[in-house]
Amino acid sequence: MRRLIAEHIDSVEQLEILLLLQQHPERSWTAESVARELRISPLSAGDRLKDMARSAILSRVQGSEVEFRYAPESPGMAEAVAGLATAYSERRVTVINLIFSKPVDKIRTFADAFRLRRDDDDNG
Amino acid sequence: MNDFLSGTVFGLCLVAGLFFLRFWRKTRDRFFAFFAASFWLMGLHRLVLMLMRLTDSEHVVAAYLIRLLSFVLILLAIIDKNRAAPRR
Amino acid sequence: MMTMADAVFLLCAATSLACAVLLLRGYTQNRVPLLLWSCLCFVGLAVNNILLVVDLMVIPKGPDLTTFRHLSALVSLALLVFGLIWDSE
Repeated sequence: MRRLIAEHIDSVEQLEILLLLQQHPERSWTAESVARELRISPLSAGDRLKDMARSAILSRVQGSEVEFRYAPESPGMAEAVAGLATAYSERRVTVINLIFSKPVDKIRTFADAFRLRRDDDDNG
Repeated sequence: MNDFLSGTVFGLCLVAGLFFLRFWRKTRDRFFAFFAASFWLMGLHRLVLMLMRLTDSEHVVAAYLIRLLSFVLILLAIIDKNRAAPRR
Repeated sequence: MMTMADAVFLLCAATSLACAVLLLRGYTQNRVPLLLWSCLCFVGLAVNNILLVVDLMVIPKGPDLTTFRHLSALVSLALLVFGLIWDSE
């Protein structure tokens, strides 16, 4: 589970999206429907969906560019996501701390330091 | 002494470039690819200066174009970052 | 040709300074030491480029600053690599 976070989860937003899709494995989602459900911006929801489709936790619905479905690439991955869901409901703060202490965040702040506009940090 | 210093800078440029390459792999943020390329060009600039030192100055100017390119890459990285950002 | 080379080095210096300023701003906002190290690196690279202009263009007949130029580049890169090793994990 720690590995799942270390390798695939970069933000609480992403985690929320993953868990939402995991709770409804039969349903396919678009950026808009995810955004409505979680009350986040459709643009960033779309980006997160694409990220996770690339890392093979989700898959694109066949023949559709915009629809995604929960599809972990291995049973081990499914187990880890289920474990993460339990942990997130029982020990939310620990999970959030794990996400925020990731080394990738330091690297991100490096890249983000070169953003001249700051508004995109506030409205997410 | 100067050659030694320059050689050390060359090595450090390569190492810094490798770090940025790894950041690129980790975050898939093109920004770091630009940085990796930039630092490698900085290293290449050192190497070329060293190799061309004994030839005419025309080539030295060419060598400094590599340096220019390495800084232009950093500029491109910043521009790219700021063009891509508003969509997020 | 001189003026073009001048412009090149000044552009390099300006780029380095811009990076340094952005990284310093990032550091004051996030307090991630990596940003401070890389900020110092770009300050050093700016100094390196300015020394180059001074050495080759402004006072070409003056004292040879080659060693100082190499030293400024070396210190810059060393700071950056130290920061990358120390604080990127």
